[in-house]
Amino acid sequence: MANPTIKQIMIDDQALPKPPEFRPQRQDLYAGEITTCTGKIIADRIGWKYADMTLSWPALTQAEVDILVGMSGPCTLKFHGLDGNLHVQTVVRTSVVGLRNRNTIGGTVYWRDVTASIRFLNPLT
Amino acid sequence: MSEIDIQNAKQIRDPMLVRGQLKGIISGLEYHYFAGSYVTFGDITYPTASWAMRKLTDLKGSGYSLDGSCSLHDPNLTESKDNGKLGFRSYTGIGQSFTIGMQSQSQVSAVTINVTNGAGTVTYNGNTYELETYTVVPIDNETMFSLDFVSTANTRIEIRYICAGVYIEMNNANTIRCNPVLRSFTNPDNPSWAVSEIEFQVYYKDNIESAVASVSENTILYYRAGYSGDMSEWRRFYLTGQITQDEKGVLTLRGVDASARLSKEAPAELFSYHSRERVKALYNAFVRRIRNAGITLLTTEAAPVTAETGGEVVYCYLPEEARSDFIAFFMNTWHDRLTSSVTYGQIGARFWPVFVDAGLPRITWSYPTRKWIINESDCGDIKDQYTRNINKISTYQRNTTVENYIDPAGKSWYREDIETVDAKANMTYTVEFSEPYTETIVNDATIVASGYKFIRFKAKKTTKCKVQGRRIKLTEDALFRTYNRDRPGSETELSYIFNSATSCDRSLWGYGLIMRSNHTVTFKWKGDPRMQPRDVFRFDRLDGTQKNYTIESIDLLHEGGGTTCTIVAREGVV
Repeated sequence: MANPTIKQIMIDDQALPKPPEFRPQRQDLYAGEITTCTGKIIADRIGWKYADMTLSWPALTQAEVDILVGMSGPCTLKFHGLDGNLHVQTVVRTSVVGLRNRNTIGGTVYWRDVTASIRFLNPLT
Repeated sequence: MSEIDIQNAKQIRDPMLVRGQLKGIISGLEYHYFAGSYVTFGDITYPTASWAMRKLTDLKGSGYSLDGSCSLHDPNLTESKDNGKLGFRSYTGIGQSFTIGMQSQSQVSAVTINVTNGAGTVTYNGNTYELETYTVVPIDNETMFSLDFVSTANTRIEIRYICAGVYIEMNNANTIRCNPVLRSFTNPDNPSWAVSEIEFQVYYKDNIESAVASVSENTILYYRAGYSGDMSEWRRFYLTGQITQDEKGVLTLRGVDASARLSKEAPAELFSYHSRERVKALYNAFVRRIRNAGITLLTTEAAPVTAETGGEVVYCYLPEEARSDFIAFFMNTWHDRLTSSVTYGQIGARFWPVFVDAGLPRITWSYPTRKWIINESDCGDIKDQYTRNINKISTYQRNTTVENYIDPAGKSWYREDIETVDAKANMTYTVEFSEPYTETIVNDATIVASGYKFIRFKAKKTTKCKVQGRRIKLTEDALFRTYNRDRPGSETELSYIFNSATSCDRSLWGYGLIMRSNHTVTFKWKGDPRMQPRDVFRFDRLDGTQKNYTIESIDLLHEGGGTTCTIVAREGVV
């Protein structure tokens, strides 16, 4: 199974260019939260996951937009993190694929300002 | 130091492990036939997970350990669970299929398959279920049926057992919500027994609603929580009501603790004791009433040893009534300080009988000692409540006597005549009494059965059969007793349900009831699954005060991976 290069991400093993502002943020997950009478917060930290994020590209080809449009249900997202390691996460698309303009340059169709929001599904401990 | 204590000392702690088991296994399922091929086939109806299947030493199906620690399956070893040679092992390969036929004397509505290795599916009557560690398959009330297995991976399918009934394991992966509510009572005025209960909400991906609908009432439901290496004891609850599964696949299971059985009526009981041995005799009656309700106790503190014996003979008659009334009354009122004249191992010690269940049924009589410390700074939603202070208890005290009968002429007889029956030989008669009697006899008859309110006998010959006995007199004194304390407050009337005047003064007057605090506190806290109702904790308040409180109830909630609890407690030792 192929892995993305450092400048790519892969959705269900299909490569896309890495969005320019691609920085997944970690988010701690808490449950059983109590606020005490002194205002202190007590909780159980049950793990962490990547926060919801919006992927955006200045331009994508039609074939690359089709990859985003074809996301249905849980999908595998592979990317290289800031630590240089390959990360594999399960995500769902949580918005429509936003498109702005369509241009044809040298016979290739490009869509401008493409966006798609995703949610990471599974927490890690 | 305990891992639970280490975690509870943190502001942000790790999530607790939550474990549960529904043990609805029914015996009687037998193996009938097999179709297909297999590597080994031993008894597959031995329903226990307490033995490990011996691994096959080959390179297929995860049987071979490359560190050299593998052991031979060894055909010369006896087929037994100790040798790990029961159960079933398939060949390896995707698509490997086999059929196991089962049979039973009685109709089967569900089976549970314990799979220890491999991946695949099982099909019954056109419905296919993916194999899990414990796979529940609904069966259509049949006595003979077959299960078709197909392997979906290259690993060997190993089946430890197939049994009738439903066994479900609850853990952090499938439990959505677990809510044990552990209760006792602490109010001084005529308390009623409080049953503990539990509710599990568990995700099960297959539709097994018909299978779980067949699980019988009182099936055991186990629960514990904590951290790896430091789990609370297994609490035992009993299923109440039907297990349901909603359209999202969530099962709801509810249970109550064994103390729910106290609500059943106990048969009438008459016992006697010597007044100097009152504490031991009454404690034994307390223990007996709980045991005879069908409650298996984990521990029972041995009855106090009396240094003195003798004293006047005292009777106590407990009529046919719900046991819970007697148990609650006894725990609430029967506190005694042990005097120097009667040694119970420690002069001055306190007799303080307590029965707590909440899944861990135990009886103690030693004065409770503090077990926990809770800081108010770790608690939220704190509510202090005050009921009216009791400064006066009033009651009509009841008593039991069994005395000789004095006839109208003034003569004393050991027994009195109850009724005379013109009996025919070999006929059976039943005489019922409007009041209780003991030591009943009948002339020229064989007694078939007797109780305090009836006797059944078979006449040996045609004659007048006279039923005689000693009347059990239940009296209530005309004096409305009151007990006062020098503090402002109100009066409460106590229903004195205990038919023995012994130590009435000491028990009501004494060492718990009238001095019980009217102050309770309710608060939200992080939760500790080891805590029991009636545990005593020191509550360190923000104003610097430190006082002992007794837990009345713990509403523990495991949800979304986190654990919290709401505690209600009364100031002082109850």
